[in-house]
Amino acid sequence: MLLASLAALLCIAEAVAEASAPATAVSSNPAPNPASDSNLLLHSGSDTSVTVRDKDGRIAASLILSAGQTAPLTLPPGDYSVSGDYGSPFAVTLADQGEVRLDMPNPPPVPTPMTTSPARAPAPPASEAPVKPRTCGGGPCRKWKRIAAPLMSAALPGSGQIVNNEPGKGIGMFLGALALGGGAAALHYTRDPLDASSPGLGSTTFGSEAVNGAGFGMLTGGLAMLYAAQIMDAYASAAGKETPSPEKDHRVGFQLTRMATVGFRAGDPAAAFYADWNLNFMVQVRRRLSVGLTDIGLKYGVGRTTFQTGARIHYRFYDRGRLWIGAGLGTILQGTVGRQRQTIGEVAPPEVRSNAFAAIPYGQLDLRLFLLDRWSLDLIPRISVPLGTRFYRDDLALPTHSVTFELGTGVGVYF
Amino acid sequence: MRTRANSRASRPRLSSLPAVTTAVLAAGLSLACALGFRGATEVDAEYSLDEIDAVRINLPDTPMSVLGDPVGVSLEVEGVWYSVGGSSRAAADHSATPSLFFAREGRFGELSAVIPTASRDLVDLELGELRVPSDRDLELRTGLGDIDISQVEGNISVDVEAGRVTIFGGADGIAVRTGVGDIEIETTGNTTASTGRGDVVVSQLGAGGNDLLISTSYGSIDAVLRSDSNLDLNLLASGDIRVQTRTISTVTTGSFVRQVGNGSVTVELRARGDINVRLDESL
Repeated sequence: MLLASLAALLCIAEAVAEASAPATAVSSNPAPNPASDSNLLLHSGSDTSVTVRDKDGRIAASLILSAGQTAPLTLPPGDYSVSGDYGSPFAVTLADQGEVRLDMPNPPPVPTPMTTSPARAPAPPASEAPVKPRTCGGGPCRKWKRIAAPLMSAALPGSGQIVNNEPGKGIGMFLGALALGGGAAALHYTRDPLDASSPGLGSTTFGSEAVNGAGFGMLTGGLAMLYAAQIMDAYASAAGKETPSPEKDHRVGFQLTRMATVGFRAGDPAAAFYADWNLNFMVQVRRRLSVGLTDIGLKYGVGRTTFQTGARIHYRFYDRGRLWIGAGLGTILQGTVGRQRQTIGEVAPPEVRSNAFAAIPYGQLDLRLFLLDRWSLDLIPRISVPLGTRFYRDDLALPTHSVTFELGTGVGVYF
Repeated sequence: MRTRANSRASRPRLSSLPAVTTAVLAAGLSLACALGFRGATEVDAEYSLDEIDAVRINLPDTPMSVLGDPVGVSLEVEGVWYSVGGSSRAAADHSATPSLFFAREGRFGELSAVIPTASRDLVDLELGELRVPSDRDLELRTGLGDIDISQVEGNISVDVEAGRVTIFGGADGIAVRTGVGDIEIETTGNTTASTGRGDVVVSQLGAGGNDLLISTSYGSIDAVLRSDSNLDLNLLASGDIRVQTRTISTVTTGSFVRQVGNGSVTVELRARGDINVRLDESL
């Protein structure tokens, strides 16, 4: 469900982007006079069928041309699309009482630029240039693929690329996800819980457990990034987007991030993988400068519940092409409600604090790679120093003043 | 074409970043660790079990080794609280924060740990040997840790999430549950034991005649009987079943049910693995 939502969100966000994008086709021709018709001369060097459509897509004329034949068509002034058996459609603008001659391409398809009569027709505007055949991925563009490809990729990594006629890329994505997921699963499931149950270990297993935790973190982080990337790529290919134009002037941005580190524990296992999943909501108050509510998350431990949120100020100092680099300063605030174990008898146990509070100031770098105009993959190195015990899920926590280097991975969306 | 040229020109080049930024980026990407110190505080306590018949030891994750003392009158505990901290002083403070608390209600006593929430996941208890009077009933509860009990002849109950359980004794009866871990029991008492993943070896002692109700969700069971004269045998296994006593001898699969004599001794074994029932070779 979450994956499908991500893919659906991606489609919606990019659809909004397209809807708000300015039109690129510009016609410099004067408004046509409907009372006066114009002539369109169609010529072909080979046998071909020709279809002329008006700007609404309705067929204005359809005919078959023999080799060397020239056929005149009388049409009202306006914008037309002329397509033949070979090559791509031509965009033609007929001026009031003007005449345009169009040579239909011959096989193999080599689009011939439209020629016009300089005496009777105005110079062709930019929009009259031959339209190149638009391909999306490895095949023709289809609107349904914009929905289906990312959804397919969300369900099965790489399948969206196959829908886009990019089987090599799709298989590569699938094998990559399989390798990363398989490696992470192997590390997780081959860990014997009884390894840490023996008495007298005295944290001697720290090295192997730290390596295990780091490996698990790298594999799962890589898997998450690859997974998100291949969904975005599926949409980008289906929509024919080769180079994204990141929304530098966005107003708000959302990020789903996993901050991760390998930390030590008091007992056995002596080291563990610490992951902090959180949501971030940032508002760009000035160009490049954002502030917001960040690191929002809920963590359940053994006999405790922790809620966290925070604030961050972020400045983007590098934003060329599809890469953004920024830096941020912020603080996480954690509140924890704990439960003390019940005991028997009339004598109460010593009073201890059941609740806890911590502030975790941090500084971070922020790398964002855009695969779509509004979607980014994020890589975030961070250094933090908790003031108070910082809680993670399960029975994991880092002590106060423990300098922590974290590596975050996630996705961001911008509106 | 112009659009394509523009996109190339705007393609990011990390080499154009300041060297310091690049270095910080590289360092940041290569590091993901938490730094700190470890601390430890020893625990040595003794609680009188005068007028206490049953003792529950209910502690956070820790291995426990309990030895019954025939002449003892108290519960003796020794061990170490380990901790972590951002500084050596903080680590030492954390290790000194928890405490053990012994509560009484009637003739029942309970040993538990009292830890502030802020320190709960920063400390770990590792017990040495615990001593209890051997005639007391004993109940052990913990999360992760091997359990080893010997010379305790009262009723024994063990509940552990992950850990191997070894019991020699428990004449008044044994009940064991472990989520993951092997179980080994030698007893004259009626025994109920289950493990989520692990092998079970259970042996009757003395004249036999004690009931055995054993199950393992993933593992094998090996039962050694002292007598087969009044058995009510009910075996269920996904692997092989082998029974080799004086009165029963079979190799089969699936299930095996047999009653011998008056069937007063129930032996009910269920395993997703093999089951092997045999008579003590010393007889």
